[in-house]
Amino acid sequence: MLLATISLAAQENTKVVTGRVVDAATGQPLAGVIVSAYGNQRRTTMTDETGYYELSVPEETRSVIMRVEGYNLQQRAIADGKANAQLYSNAFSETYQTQTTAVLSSQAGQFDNTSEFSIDPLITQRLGGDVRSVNRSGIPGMGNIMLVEGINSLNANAQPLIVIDDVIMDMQYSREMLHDGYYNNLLANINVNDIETVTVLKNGTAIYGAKGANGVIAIKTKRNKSMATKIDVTINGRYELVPRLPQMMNADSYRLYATELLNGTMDPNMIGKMKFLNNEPTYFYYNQYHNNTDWTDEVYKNAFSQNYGINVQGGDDAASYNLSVGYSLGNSTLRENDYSRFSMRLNSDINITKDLSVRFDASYSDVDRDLRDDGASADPLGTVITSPGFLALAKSPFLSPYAYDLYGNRSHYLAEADDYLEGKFQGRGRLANPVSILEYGDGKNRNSFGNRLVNFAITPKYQFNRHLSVSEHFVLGLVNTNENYYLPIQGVPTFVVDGLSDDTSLNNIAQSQTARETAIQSDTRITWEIDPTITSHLKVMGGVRYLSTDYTQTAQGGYNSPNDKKPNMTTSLVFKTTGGADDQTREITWYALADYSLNERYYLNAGISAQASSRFGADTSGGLKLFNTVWGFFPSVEAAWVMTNEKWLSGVKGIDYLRLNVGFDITGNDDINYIASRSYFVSKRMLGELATGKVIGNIGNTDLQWETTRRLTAGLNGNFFNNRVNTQFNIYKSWTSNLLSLRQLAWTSGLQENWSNDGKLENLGFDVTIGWKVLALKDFTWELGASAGHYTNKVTALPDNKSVKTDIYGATILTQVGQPVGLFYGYKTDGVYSKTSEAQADGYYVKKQNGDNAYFEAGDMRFVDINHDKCIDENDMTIIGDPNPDIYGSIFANFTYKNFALNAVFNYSLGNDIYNYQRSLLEGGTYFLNQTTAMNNRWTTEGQQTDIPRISYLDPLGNSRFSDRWIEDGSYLRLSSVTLSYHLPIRSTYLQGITVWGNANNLFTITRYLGNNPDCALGSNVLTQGIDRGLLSAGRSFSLGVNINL
Amino acid sequence: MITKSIKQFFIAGSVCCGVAVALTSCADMLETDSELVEYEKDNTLDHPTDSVYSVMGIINKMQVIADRSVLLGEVRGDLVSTTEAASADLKRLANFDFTQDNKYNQVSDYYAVINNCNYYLAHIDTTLQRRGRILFQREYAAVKAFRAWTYLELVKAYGSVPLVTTPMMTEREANDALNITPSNIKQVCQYFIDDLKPLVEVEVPDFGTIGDYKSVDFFLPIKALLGDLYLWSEKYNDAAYWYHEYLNNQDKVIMMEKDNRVFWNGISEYLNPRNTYQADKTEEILSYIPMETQIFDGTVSDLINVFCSTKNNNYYAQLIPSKAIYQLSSSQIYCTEHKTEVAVDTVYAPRTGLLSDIYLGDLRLSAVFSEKSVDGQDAYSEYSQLRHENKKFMANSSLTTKDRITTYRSPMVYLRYAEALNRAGYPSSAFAVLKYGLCAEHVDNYVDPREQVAAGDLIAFRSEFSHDNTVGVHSRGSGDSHCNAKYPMPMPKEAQASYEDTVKCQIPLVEDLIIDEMALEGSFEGNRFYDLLRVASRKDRDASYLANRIAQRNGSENAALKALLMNKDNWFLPLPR
Repeated sequence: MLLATISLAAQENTKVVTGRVVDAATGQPLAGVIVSAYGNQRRTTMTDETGYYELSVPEETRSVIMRVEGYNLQQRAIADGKANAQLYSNAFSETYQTQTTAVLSSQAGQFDNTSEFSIDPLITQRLGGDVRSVNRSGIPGMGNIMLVEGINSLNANAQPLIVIDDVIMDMQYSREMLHDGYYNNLLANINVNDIETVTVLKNGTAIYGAKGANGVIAIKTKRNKSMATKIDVTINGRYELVPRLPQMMNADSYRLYATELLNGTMDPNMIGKMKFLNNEPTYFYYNQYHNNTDWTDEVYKNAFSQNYGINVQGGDDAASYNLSVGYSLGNSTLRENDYSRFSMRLNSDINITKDLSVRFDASYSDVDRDLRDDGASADPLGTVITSPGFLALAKSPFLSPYAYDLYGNRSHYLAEADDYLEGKFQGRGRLANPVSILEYGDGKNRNSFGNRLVNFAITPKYQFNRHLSVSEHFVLGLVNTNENYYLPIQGVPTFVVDGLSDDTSLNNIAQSQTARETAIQSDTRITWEIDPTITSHLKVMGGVRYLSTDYTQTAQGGYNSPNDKKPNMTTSLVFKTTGGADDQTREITWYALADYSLNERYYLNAGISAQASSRFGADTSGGLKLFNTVWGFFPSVEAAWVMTNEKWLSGVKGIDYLRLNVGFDITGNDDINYIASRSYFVSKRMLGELATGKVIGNIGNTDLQWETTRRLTAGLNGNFFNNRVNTQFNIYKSWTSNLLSLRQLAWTSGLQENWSNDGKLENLGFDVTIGWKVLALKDFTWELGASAGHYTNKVTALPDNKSVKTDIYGATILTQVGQPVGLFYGYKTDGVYSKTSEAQADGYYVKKQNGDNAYFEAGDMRFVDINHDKCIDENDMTIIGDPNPDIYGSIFANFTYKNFALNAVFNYSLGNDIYNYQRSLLEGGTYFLNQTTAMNNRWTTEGQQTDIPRISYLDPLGNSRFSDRWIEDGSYLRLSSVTLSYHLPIRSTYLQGITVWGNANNLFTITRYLGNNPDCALGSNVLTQGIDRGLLSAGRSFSLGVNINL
Repeated sequence: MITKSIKQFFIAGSVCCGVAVALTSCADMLETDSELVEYEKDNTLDHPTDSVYSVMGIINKMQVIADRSVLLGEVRGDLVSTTEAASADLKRLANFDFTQDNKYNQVSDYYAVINNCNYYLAHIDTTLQRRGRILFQREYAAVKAFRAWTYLELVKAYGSVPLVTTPMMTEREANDALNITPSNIKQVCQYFIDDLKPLVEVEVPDFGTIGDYKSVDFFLPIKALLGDLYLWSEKYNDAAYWYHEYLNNQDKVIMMEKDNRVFWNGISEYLNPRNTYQADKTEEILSYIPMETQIFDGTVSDLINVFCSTKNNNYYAQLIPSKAIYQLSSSQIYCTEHKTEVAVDTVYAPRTGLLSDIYLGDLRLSAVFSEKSVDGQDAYSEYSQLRHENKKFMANSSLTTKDRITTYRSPMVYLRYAEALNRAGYPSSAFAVLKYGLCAEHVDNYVDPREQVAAGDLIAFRSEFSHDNTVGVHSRGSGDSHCNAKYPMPMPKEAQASYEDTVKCQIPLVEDLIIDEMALEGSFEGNRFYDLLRVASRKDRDASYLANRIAQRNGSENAALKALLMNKDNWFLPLPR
């Protein structure tokens, strides 16, 4: 009753707004523009042929909104009863929205004219300042690591929550794959053509409870919007060139290198007798060891990929649907890493009665891949090197991929593994024939990967009356993954692995794993909304969400299958292992959210959720114990103030729109080990697997809880100079506490460590996006924009405030209070000793294992002796690099000329360091691995001035140790994408239009980085960012496509 | 109409859902299970399989401390020296420089055994009966013995430790245990004496044969263990009683294997001794911890790589016999009883002109240890030119890892029995164990009659023991010691007023012989440091007993080490703070 009165009262006091709407390009009046009071669709009028309109609106109305086909939406403040506008062509990016909320977010849409297999690279291009994004690998669909609003965790997941059509996704970030260097990116299961919008939520995430601490990326797929049936057909193809690779030595240079490396390790008389050093062309083995093979030609190739899709939209009052089917075939520039996807998606909206509607969504996608290990191995002598990509660089060029027959002629049989180093180098360190791994590892049950993603969502909604509705969102999601791994016998040396004694030699590896994840989500929600009126609007909703996830995985592996025809798991395998996971999560989240707006000027969004989870400990002190379980509470409050709707600013020239947002959120990260809060027993196979022992595997940390992030956000969004310039500036400061970390258990427990909450970190950062409509002419538009993101991140507390050093790929990563996460901690260098006298003057040494001193000599690195004790040891280590960028983002330019459109996107990252691990092997001068041509400058003679030290087998003095030699500036500017499209306007009964487009990706990169690609990542762990192990990088690619609208 | 009924349905549905959610305990809805691990609530230990798996689990944890039970007792003693190639951890142990990161100083591994035992003992149902037999009685006793043995190993190494006998199943309980006032060796022993005594007659479990192992051998002889506990408690009568109970009063008596020895064959040729001596002779191994043979399967003993030249250590052994054991060995007098048709003669082995110094005196060192150099190693070789082999760590005398670590061996039980007898006031009986072996006939012949009366049943042996099958431990390496005139019962330098005074003087002298014999017989097996520690802790001894010997392990005195060891606090590893 009261509400009705307010509503009536609002209607009683009206005023008239007049104005004129013109085309910004021509200045000509625009007729037929729909003008309505902002936030109140019932007050609507249209402009006449002079562009003039007159609209009666409630007294409190402060702005109107104008829209018409072909132009951008515009919101105008009413100043003195007037609101004129210049509308821009919709060739420009949208800067206004029909609704305003207090929540800060950035959105991108219209992912057309692309041949990308997954959305992640497009998020990088379109939301480059909002999301810090790093490419995982150039293998099709491997996607990107994404970070929103800094780094908010150390050991738990730090990547944002992905929500697809309101379904909370478990992205399986931490699941391990059998193939080294491979990551199962579930986003690659989703067809880019199905995606309508991607929104990065920066605050207001209370509804996601203990899942929102790393930000939220909400993806919406396409739904039908009109009654007319629309059919879109997409066909495109892409040609990708082999990416940049290091320049390796040729056969002669490598022969010299290998000889030099042998010096000092064996009797000089014996060296001369080695087969590969006999340069007499009549010698029996001459041909075998006198090739000049560029192994990269055998392993990398230019690749052609294709995408096909059809999308059908249609419906009527009762039901509408969007159905899409797609097929993609992605070939990789690294051979045998190809990808194919079949996808299907049905999104439907059904009105059963006037009050009852049901949304039913179903999707299915099936990804199949060939895979091989990729990347430089962590320890070249640890076990056999299995990555064809790395072998292609490291393999000796004087060898041939093909074997030589008895008469010294090259046959078509593949060559066996290296054998040019006889004697004591015969064991560890022999290199496989990469072509053999590619050929003999090929097959459905050898090195394949399959991934099926199925989702059913049914959302009945009942509208009791204009105010009250109740809905239930029920989701069943399935993710099935299977993977087979096979390292063949042919062309691979016998090898050893850690955990087995050195005298067991292994011939091949067969592994397989299957995983199944079943997720059930139920979200029951009651929504209450008052009639939208101008003066105030309130929407309140509350509900409960139940989430149940079961992930089961089984993995088997073993060695020595009888031959390459039998790559399967059989009982005859030796050292068989089985493993698996059985991870279950149950969560209940109660939530309440309120959205309130007053006079189009003040907006408030407040929410709270209470989450209980099976992963939380039973005695968690951070939460409240209710109903026999512990609840974590996650409130958020956001407010926005549209300043241009204030009278004092509404008429000011040059300022078209200005909004200030502030918010405060408490969110959580529940990526807690599934069972760390429980005490449990584990089984151990014993006595040659003949017995089983059961032992205490864990004593539970019943205090275990989520990581808590408190975040203060503020944003300023403005349009200036007749909407020519749009800026968004957001700033945030966050405090994360209760960091999950492994803590040493009391020694009386008999166990080593368990997860606990200890440690804090902070993030301070901003992102800014500027768009400028440089030219808005009748047939020609030019828009230029840029975005930039920046964060500084600081660890503020650690368990006992002890710094933690993590060793990975030869690097030491330092986590220390007062410093950002992921710091490289190693040795500083100061050139190479050119003369013996220089080395002797310093008198630096290293301690050998038996305690003796080994002194640096001419040709060795001169390390900086930080503690001035002449001994170069861990006390001389210091911070030598920081993988966190100073600034990152994108620059874009869009041009349109009539029906032509040209878009270009640059991405950049400045100030981040990269540890070039691959280079440390290829320029380390330590192993019998081929080296880059830079190594031709290595120190060889007394007095030689160079910055590359002498080489020595196994590097006793540690010249190639983790030092600033391998830390490089990873800054880059890359032209990520250039797209030229032409829209053929056809108005026929059967054909609505055709768009032809061409696109070039990664045309050039400006960087000083010496590795393949400065946009590279080792894994999603925040401690391992900025480590480059030479995974496949994206090459230049050229695409051509056509979109047909029927 | 339809709308209305749907509306009603929805309202009813919502109400029902709401009530259901409110009433169901949230904790139940959050309940999860796992097939990979067994939660505490599910491990009820009421099924024989559960019990067997849990007992094997305890053995699994004992595997972790098995090597350490040898190394901590040996490296710190005086019978081995670290080589250049020894790991820093071993070198530090040898020099009594204990750091927290030393891999042999990980106290939590002992508590892993203890906590698993504690859990078992707290949860096993000892009242369950099947066919009139208490179902888990044997396992129960065996686990109690494991726990007692582990605590004894622990407290020997660390001096005093928190004595926790209830399971610690949460972090909080484990943290609370840290604050328990530590118990010293005697306190720990007393607790387990009381704990084990009611179970002495329980047989060990038998899980059958597992591969090459007989599972009965995994379990510790409770009576011998009780003997140890009493010995460390300095309750010598009780100790002697339980050792004797174990050796003599069982279904199957335990004898000194007469033929397990190393000797000169004949009296004219002293080239190579005949060696039938085996420190791991099956009949003498009373119990052991089974070890894995492949790292893949779990914990493999690494002792072979510590004591021998192997491919894994590039043939650089890390621990080799010290000068001290060479000296001890060579100071023994080897004697042969030479029987001809006309006479019985006693012949002493030559002390010069032997093929190797290792053959001088007692031959047991030569039987277990060898050093030779090999050819064909050039200057570029990463392999050692010397090959060291210690048979005590080689399976079947070949360079393969042993799949078991002995916990009890009969000659060592005999020697501890002798030690207990001696301290109980029966030195001539104790000496007889070394020189003759005890059986009725030898007791009559060689034990002082007054002592025979006083000791009574402590030295009474069943008729299975006879002159024909009983020898002294010393005979295993020093020839026929029963006729060795140069190996006499020690006498006080000056005549004593009374028999009692004589005995009192003899006790420490006989004890020295026993401790020497323990070194000759039990070298490298992890006994030495603890034997010295036990004796040096006695009231009539002082720290120098231990300090002198260890400081002299390399032939000359290491003054710094001696000074360090004169402080008893340095005998023990420090507990982490």
